[in-house]
Amino acid sequence: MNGSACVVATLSCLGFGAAVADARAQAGAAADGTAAIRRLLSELDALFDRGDLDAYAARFAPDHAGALEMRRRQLARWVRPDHRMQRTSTIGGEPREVGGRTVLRVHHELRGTVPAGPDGGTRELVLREDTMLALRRRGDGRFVPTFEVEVAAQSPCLQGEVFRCPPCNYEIGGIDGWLCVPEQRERGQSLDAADFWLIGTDVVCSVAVRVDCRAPTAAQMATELATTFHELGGDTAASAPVAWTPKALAGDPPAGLDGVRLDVRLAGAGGASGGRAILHVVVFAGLQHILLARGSDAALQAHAAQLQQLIDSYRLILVDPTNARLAAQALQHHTGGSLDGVRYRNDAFGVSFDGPAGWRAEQRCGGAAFHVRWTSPNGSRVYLRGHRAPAGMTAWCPTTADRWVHQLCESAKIEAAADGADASWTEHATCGGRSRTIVCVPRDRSDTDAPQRVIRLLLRGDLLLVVDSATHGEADDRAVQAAVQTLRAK
Amino acid sequence: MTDRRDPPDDDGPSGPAGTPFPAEHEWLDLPLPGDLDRFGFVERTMDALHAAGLPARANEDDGGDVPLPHEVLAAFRSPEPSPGFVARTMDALQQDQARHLHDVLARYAAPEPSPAFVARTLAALAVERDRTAAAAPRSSAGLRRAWPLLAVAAGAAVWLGLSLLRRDPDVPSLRNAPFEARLAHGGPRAFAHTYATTPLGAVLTTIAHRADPRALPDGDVDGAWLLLEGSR
Repeated sequence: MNGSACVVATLSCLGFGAAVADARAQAGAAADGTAAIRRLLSELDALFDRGDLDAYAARFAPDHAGALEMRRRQLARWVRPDHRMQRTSTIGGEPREVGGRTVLRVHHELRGTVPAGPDGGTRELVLREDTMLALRRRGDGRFVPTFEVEVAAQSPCLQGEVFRCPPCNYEIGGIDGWLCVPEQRERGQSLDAADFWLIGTDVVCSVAVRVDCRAPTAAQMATELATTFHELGGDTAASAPVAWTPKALAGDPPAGLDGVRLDVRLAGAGGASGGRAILHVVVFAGLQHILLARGSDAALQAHAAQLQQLIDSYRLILVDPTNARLAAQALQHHTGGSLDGVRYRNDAFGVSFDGPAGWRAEQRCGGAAFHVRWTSPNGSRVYLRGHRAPAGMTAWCPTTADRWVHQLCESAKIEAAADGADASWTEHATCGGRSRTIVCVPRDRSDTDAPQRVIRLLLRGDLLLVVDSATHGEADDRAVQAAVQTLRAK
Repeated sequence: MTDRRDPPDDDGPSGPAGTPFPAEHEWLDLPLPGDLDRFGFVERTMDALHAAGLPARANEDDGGDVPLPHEVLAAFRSPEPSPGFVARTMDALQQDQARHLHDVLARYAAPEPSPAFVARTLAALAVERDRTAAAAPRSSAGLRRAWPLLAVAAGAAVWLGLSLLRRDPDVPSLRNAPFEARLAHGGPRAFAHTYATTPLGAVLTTIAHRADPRALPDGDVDGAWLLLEGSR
């Protein structure tokens, strides 16, 4: 008789027979459920392998149509007529019940071949990503997927269902029915980003933390967000921003707390209503906290109380308004960098750069690993950006770096000057790695106000540094050239 | 009365001998000269010319003609025409005239239709009238004329449709796409934020661009694009 059988026998003798039976039944159900989930994952993998994303999406009974559409868009990147990846999915965590659904984390491994470089050939690619999957169980025991979204591989800020980031000075979450899904940094375009999904509905609340060197008020930021919704998404209608104080601080709001709430009615497909967005923006000690809740009119009305509970769970960790270091601490925590006057140091990436004397230096947040800008009194600018090797790559190479910089230039409507400096890659004398200089001109030759544009690249394995200068006048140009000599990347 | 002399070289306000030169507005107010002693004027002019060594005064017996010096006549003598020049010129003139007359006449002259032509035309008109009365389709001649236009229009429609599909082959119709998909599809496929599940990243990128339009885009690269699509 093995050990487990002994335990069962002992428990039965002690009168715990019913409990044992229950436990056995639950274990059996769980095993059946796990097996059913595995079967579902295999089915989805097979559909992905075939490249049949229509059938993949049709397998879902989506709670959130927009999330499924974006998931389809993510998968479509890997499904091409001339290229196919094979996917293997495994259960990455214990399934749990949230909002009437079974929710679990899933590990996906994608394998395939990708072009090796300009000389032809291919190389093996192995890509790993995680998703959060929500399932509804049918009467026949089969699982129907209702929700699948990307999740950041690691997020130290997630503690249970509470998203807490002390450097960003806030926490939110821990409300039943809400699933917290941290976003990958490059997706969120901010220092920190997470989405709270009200499982089983189409309500989602996106949370983002930013620093904004323009120092807009909360009302200005909320209005700008609403205006941009309109610009990008079609017909929208926004209410005027109204003052808002987080519930946790309502009794004693700290000095300098600036909060607003603003409602936006969104345009839907074919002129129908696209639901509503409820914006809450808080500006405190140089940090912006954005809470963007969206959903259909019916869902927002039906679940208004649950949404309010989530919004009420938002609170600041530190409320000392004199803490001028909050924004800098958040930047250092998430980007690794700090400014001392015009000198920039990033210990996380081993990068240092002394900007031109007398210029105004600002750290900025976006999709890059770090982003710093220096501005001269004449309006000249030099930008320092660091780009990590993206998922699927272990390191940058000249080919991929050229490809990316070409895209950046195309988006900025500039191009390499025909008579510019030699733009080939060379060994960098001081930093190691390889470097390249590109003199650029605007594609619109009638743009007479265009600054002199030079893009300097430094490739160091896993990091691509882009030093982009836009100068007016020779003095500023000389200042930038001198500053570039101070660039170090260990 | 102001004696009209040759205009002064320096265009100054005063004429020779210090006489004030009339201003522009004064010209119209100047009194008309008196009766001109024409003959006397000519006499004086000729005397002056002769004094300068120009041809001698004409004699009345010669009928008033002033013979020009031989060398002057020689300078202005026309060259001798080449042989046949006159004939060729006349011939060209006649041909040109004939052509012109032919063009003018041909514009207005119509050939006399033959009886057979008349009969065929009348029969065709009768058939066309019957066909039209029975709601016949358009004449083949009309279709033949419209065919090139139809082909161009069809080609343009196919090109437009392919362009739209090529721009975003993953989504059948942006107009019917969910809100976050519409926002995402507005951005270049190379950027990671265009694949975010929620739209806040796309909105923040747009705001960053508006704040600093000349800067390079404020986004990071999508690995799949870099490895697969960017190599094309």
